[in-house]
Amino acid sequence: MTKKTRVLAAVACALSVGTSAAGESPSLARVRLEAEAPARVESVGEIRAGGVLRLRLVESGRLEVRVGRQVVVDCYVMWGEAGRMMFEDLAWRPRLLPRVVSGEPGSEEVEVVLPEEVESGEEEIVVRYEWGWKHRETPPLERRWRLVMGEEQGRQQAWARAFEEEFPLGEEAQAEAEVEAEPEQGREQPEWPGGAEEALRPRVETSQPEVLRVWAQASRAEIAEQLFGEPGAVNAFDYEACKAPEESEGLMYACVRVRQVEALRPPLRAEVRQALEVLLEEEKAWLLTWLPAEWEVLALAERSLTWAQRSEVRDEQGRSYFDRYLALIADKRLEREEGVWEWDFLAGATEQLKKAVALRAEQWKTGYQVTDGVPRLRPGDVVGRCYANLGVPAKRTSLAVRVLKLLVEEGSAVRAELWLRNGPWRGWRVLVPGEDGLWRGYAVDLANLTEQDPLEQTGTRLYGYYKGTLFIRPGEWRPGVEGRGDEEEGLRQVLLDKALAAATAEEPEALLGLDHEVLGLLTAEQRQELLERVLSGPALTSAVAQEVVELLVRVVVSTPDEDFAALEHALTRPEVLNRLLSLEGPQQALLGQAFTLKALTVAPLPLESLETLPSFHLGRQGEESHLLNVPLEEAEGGETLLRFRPVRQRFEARYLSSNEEGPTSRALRAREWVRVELHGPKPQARVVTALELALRASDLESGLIWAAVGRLSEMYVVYGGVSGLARAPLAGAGAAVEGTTAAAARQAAVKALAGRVGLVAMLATVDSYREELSRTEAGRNFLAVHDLALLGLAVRDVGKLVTSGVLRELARQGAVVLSQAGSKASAGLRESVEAVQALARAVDKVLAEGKAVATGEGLVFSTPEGARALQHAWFSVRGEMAAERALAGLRKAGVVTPEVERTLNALKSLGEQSEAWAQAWSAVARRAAALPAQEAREYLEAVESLRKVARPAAESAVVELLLGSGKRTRQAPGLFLKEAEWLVQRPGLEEEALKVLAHKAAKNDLSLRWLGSTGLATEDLNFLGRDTRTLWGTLQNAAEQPDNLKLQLRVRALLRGIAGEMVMERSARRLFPGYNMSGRQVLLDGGHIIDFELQALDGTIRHALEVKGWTADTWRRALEAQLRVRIGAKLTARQEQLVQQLQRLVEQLRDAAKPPRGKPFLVCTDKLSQKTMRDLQNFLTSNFLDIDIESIRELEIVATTKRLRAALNLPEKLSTGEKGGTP
Amino acid sequence: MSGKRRWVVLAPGEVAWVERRTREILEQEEDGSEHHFRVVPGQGHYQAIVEKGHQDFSSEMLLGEALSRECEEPVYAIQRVDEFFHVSRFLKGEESWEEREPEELIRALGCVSEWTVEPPLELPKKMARTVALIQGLSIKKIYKALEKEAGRPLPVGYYRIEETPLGVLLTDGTGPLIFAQNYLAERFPRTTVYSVTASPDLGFFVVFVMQGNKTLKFVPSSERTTTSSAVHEVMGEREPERILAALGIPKEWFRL
Repeated sequence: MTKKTRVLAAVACALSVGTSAAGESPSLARVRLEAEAPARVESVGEIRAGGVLRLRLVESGRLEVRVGRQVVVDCYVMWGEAGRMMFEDLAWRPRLLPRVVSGEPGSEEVEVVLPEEVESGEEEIVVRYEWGWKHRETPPLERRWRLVMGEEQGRQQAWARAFEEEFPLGEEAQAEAEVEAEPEQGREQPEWPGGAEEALRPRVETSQPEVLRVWAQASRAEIAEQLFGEPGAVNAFDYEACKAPEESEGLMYACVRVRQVEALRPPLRAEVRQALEVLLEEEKAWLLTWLPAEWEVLALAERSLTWAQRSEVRDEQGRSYFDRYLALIADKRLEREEGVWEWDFLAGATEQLKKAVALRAEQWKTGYQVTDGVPRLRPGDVVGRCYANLGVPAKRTSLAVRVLKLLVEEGSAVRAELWLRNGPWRGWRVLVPGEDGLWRGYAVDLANLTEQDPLEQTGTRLYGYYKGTLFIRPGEWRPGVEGRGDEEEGLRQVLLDKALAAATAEEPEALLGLDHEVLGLLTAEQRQELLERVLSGPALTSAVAQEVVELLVRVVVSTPDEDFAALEHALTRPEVLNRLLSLEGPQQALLGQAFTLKALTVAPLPLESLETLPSFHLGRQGEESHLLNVPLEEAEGGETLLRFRPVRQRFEARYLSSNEEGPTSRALRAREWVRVELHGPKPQARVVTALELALRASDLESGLIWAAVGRLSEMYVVYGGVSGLARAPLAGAGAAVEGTTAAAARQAAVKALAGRVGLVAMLATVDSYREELSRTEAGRNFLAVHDLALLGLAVRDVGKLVTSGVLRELARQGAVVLSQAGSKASAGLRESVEAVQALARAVDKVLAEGKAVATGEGLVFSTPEGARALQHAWFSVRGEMAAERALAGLRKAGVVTPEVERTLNALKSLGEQSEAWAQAWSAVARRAAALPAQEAREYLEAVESLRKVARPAAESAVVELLLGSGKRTRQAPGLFLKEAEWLVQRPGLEEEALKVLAHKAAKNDLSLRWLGSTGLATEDLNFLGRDTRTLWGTLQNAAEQPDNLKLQLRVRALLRGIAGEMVMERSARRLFPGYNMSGRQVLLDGGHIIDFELQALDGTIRHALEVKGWTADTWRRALEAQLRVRIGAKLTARQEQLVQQLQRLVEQLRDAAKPPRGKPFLVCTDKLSQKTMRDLQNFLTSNFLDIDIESIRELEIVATTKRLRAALNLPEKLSTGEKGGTP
Repeated sequence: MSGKRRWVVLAPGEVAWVERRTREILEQEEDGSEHHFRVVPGQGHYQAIVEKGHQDFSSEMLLGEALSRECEEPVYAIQRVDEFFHVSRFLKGEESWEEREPEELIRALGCVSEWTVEPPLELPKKMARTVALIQGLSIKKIYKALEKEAGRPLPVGYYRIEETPLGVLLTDGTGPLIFAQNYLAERFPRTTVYSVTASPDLGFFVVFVMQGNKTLKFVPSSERTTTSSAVHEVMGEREPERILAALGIPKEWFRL
């Protein structure tokens, strides 16, 4: 049957049923289903469990097979180009594909194995087929049958069900391990403003695991430290464009490709391996549907080359990932002669695969002979392939990368790379290690016959045939790689001297290839000499003018701070500047940005007030263009001053265009700040240096102005360069902490870096409101200063930022924004601008109070609380700002009372004393400020009332409740506090329980009104309350739905687990004389949580203790299921669950048995039979666990469960009728 | 850490909107919690907000309530503690209990959530070997009893079984020993069964002595124990090697 003649009928099912466990005879049924004709059902309406369902597939669509509520198949079925059926699984599911019985075109058939057991002895089986696009109007086809069980199957199932009903598996939910750490840890050490260290952790890109996402503003040394644990390894990775942006949590990320995965720190390496394992699985799935069609051939060739690049990455068993990939495609090889299999299945791309196998595989062979020159490659040899989208976006083109000539031959990779990167050849280059131990660099060319440049396309990838191949693209520079202090400094010096000697004013090309690492070695005189050559001659007007400007950018970035003034002088000489300003192209703007950035690192650059800055317009909006003429003049002493003369051009259709000149500005120095309004699709304001403005203004094409503006994040390469040269903080911190170990120094450095990220992240919160802010001039002004502050932080010089007054100005501009916007500002905008304002004021505050000192390395805190002082100050300032606003509102409405003022003052003074109170104060004040005056007053009265009635032990709970009441989403904050009063005044409640309960209530996870209505005894409330994992919502629902049998069963299981722990706590002294209970819900090193921890009375040893509330019968069945596993018998779903539970117990106890703890204890019911107890002991020992098992009384467990049920108003007797709607 | 997700919220709306609002709602908290989540786009109108393995404690209820105020359709918050789920349904800020199982709900809304389906646990391949010494029973009697328990004839070599002057030694053959020795101890209450589980180097060494309804456990005298049935010597011996010699069990039998 061809595709065209396929009828809509599409699915025909044939059912065959296997022999049941009891040997019942198989039955066979055939059912044909047609969409256009009524369904014909032959012979059966029911199918036996354990059988096989066969489906004939003839049309594209989505196939889904369900047994009861379980989905057993869910995939798309389609036919490829060659008319072969293939599947695509749905992205969000694990693979749920049917098994292919026949893939032959015209008789495609698949089968689905049906489960051996079904709930309630009978289940519905549903086949659903949603038609593909061709018949998308046709309603989906759906057919149902009953899936029934044989007698023996039924008996077994009844057995399992009886047990399950008696004791559902949910029971361990409450008591068992493997949950995350206690949230209180997060509360004790809150990250501010949000998990900075976590945000800094490099992330593996799952689609290409050798690429990691790192913080864009980190220096190369910082990245090297994080990736390899070695700050010096700045050469071990290369930046590359990220494939797709990820949510950034306010931070900017960059992607780096690691050259040697094996050099990564072990946890990262493990992550990479894990991601590679997933990718291998994906490859396997992809290969299932692979067909040797043209585009698929190329796709497989590229995938093979991708894996070839991983030939030196090894899995845990030491196998190369390329070898493992080849194992997946090995079955596609063709037998060329008897017993000789060859990789000849890729048509025109076959040679690519065979060459990769010949040069990179270890276990796999090919008869292909590599004819390249050995060890020195010859011109014309193909060293690799370039895959790119040239022309058609989705179509890949493969280009050979051919050797043009040998450039360098060196004994070490570092030296060869240095030659190659800084040599005169500026086109494509490649570094290849030779078999003779020498490293050779070659000039290469892409055999590209199209007009498209692969460099300009996204998705261009290069693959090397030889192990260790490194490609260097034209224009690939590495800011942040320092030129001083290592063994290769001499070589860099040689390269520099050679280039300087070779370059002349007429032909400066020899200089154009020099990278930052070499340019950083320039002496002041040499720099002058270099500038002389490129600036005085015809270079700036020649074909290489843009490359010359790029060189200038690198010179600016790599100039030491002390030489910057001289450089500035050279660059701003009238004749030079005139030439730079007359150039066309985007590079001048980059030069301007580099200048501003460098200027910021060199001098404080005071910024007093934005309004006093000279202000200009640039760009085009509608028919109006803003241009700037930049006349230069020379001041006394030879300094060049810049003036700006605005020109406004109007294009009008009916009249001639008009030019309107504005007044010329005063003379400005190159480093002076100016404010510029950039007009265009998204108007924005920037604070830049006068030189940057002049360079931007030189570009007459307004589109290019916009291209150059970019986002700050795109400047990361320059940041890296500047900050790296400014002084790597890792080295700095190491030097500062004399006498401590390197590890401690590194830790200190990481902390400093995390602090910097914290500040940047705080400022970045404003980014979400950039659009809203950009709508008004005040908003744009605020953003301009904000961006400057961000820039200042990015170059890590907080000291200069503080003393320059940028932060103070930021706070002032924030106030202007908010007062002008008034009620029009969105709440989010107000919050974020206030947060930034508060940050600026908080920095001032800690400096004024002497809690911190601004240094070149950042803020250094002089008090024991360290950086937390800033955090504390920040919350206080926020509270203060909001309280002022709230009081103003109350006064205006005439409802302010002395009590309300007293409440706010009391909170303020508490806030001064502790950070937690400062947070609560900030939350309450902001909530009050946002409420209508009358409600605000009532709310503040409720705050006061809560504080008054609270017992001293409830102080942290009060803080939690106030925080919860201050949420913007809290509808009636006053009522919320009123409903909490019983909690904070109830005698006997422990501080820990109070705090957790209050926290849960604040998070809407618990209704205090309901909890207050239960009859829970204080002791029980303490026990349940302090466990962060108590599912209060479920308990409340169960109390409200006494007839919901399913829910009641769940809750019974839940309560039994809790009761077990409670009984254990009470019996501890009896069971473990000589021990004290030293902890509850203790997090173990391996990540498991154990119920209790005991400590010997003499303090010598601690033991973990796990309580299992399982009934005796559950234990028996679980161990029997375990026995079935060992003898290889098939398990029912329920038995599988039990085995998994046991396995989790083993893992948990193994974790608990690790030193320094002694042997763990296991506690279970005293109802275990002798045999079950012995089996349990045996099971544990066979898992290498020597555990002492103790018992608690079943009677007590049952009594406690009953007591809890009564207190929670849960029914004692369950109705046997309806099961809550879900069978 | 188990790597399991603790919560997921299913919310209707565009992915960008859901992501932005989620971030905003969580940021408003300012209570020191970390906010790590990601939005997994669904197939239909609903998107899944999944926490990213951090202790973002109870954020799901907050998100459920806050997001539902801005939507016409319900928002669902799913909490998880191990295998146990709690599903809340929020409509315009009002919470009610949702009966549907998380998997069913997520599916019905065309959403994605990796934590609803868990890969099965892999069972450890290597387990410690147990060798039992059964006193007072013949090989024939033992095999007969074990066959009766298994309900079928056992193939030759299923257990490794050897007669020694001290009794019959029994361990794994082509089949595993597992709890067979416990069965024998229960079936023949007068016999004494020594069950020794050990690693090849005897670094791990546990002995149980079973007779009738009594079980004694060998615990080296240097070790603390709470077990009341602990003994510090077996057949008068205190060291693993000597105990094995006393029981007539070759050390080689404990090779894995």
